[in-house]
Amino acid sequence: MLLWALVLACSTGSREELVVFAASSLSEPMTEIGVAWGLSRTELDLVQVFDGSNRLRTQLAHGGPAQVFVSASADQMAVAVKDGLVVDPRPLVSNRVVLALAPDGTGDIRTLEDIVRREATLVVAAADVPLGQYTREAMDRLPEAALGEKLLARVVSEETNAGQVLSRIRLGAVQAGVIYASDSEGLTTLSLPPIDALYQVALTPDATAAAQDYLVHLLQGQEVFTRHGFSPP
Amino acid sequence: MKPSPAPWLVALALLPLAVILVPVAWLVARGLEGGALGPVLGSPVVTEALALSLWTSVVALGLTILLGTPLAWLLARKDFPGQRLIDTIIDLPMVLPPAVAGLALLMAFSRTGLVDLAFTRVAVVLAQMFVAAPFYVRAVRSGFEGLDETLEQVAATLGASPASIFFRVSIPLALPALVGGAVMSWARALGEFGATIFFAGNLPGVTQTMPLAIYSAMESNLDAALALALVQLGVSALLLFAFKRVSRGA
Repeated sequence: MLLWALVLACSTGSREELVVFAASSLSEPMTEIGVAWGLSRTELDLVQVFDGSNRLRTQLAHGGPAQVFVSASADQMAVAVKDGLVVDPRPLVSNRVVLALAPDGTGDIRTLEDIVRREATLVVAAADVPLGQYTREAMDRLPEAALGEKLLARVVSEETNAGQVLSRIRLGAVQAGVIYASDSEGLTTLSLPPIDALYQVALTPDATAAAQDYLVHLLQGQEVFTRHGFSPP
Repeated sequence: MKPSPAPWLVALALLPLAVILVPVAWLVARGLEGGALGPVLGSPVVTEALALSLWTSVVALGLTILLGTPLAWLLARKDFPGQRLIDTIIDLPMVLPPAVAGLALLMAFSRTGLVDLAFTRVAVVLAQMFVAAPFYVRAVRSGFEGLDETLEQVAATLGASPASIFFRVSIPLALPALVGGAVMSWARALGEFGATIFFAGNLPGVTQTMPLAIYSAMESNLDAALALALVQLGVSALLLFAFKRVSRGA
């Protein structure tokens, strides 16, 4: 909530402003797409706020000034639609989850079983947030029935957004963690069963023409999303 | 007869009170309206988080008193080179953002640092001590400084050993400062969030203290988060009030 208060405080008032709330895992491709779009729209300021989908939806419900909402899960989008915050959601991209290893000292971990056998420390997202939900879905789909449960027993921390899980792994504070495939560049990963991680985008009922134009541009940005490890919806 | 203060002065003095009371009152009203208080109170997440918060903060406080009292006495009574530097180091956690404190603790005490304590209850206690101990040391130090040194000198001339002077003269005389510092330090530890979530992680039943449980609940259920916030508010206010009563008696 502090974030959008800041956004409001910084606005000059004279220029039109378009605020976009988007899931934190989208920050890289959407920054790229947003900058390109912003260059062609000099009459307004584009402000893209990246955070956990749940938190952004809560902020939207409490008067957050966004006109575009991109959720990492269909569930959060469904709640936003039901509450009348946004209308007409459309699929944007899809993603997978992978188990990523810390950059150093994990050379002896080659399989998922090794995580359990070596009693490695694992970090995941909390079950309430999209990444955490996908993580548990993927664990449930592992061919060996009890492996998912054994892996989850190695969890030492449940983070509230995808970015925090990633930073734990990159810092080497834990030995492994479950992240989005799109965030895994440069890390050694072990694959998990595919799950249906569908990102959706929707506009608020009072969205301006500029917001509509931005949406069209975003939906045409598949090449950028693919380059950052996402798949078409 | 004392002159009564100017009305504008009274109004100004009440303003900071309103800044604290208005949001707290709003929280209470909204929390009760949400209706989640009953179900939340009995849930294992709350009982676990509350118990964890209480016992980790009590352990942190005990260690702070044990280690912080001699340090405060030394700073108050002795002059030695580097005193100002030590003073600054002790105050540092008070000005650091808790996230920075948490990151520093994580770097030093995780699997890539000196020794791996991260994501454990020890880490919860360490994080609380790191941010809360300076409140104690500062208060106790000024308590010792405010003492009449001649009393300690008299005790010495009467043949009391340095240890017995410390325990039977200095400590009893500085007791109000010790209790006051302990209350502030303990209250800060109970509310600790940033350093804890960075360093100790967030796992229900293991490292998830009340502030972390509130933060996590906000992701899924705002009413539950509000109810948890009410519990934290109630417990903190109650214990603070009780401590203040006790310290007035001391």
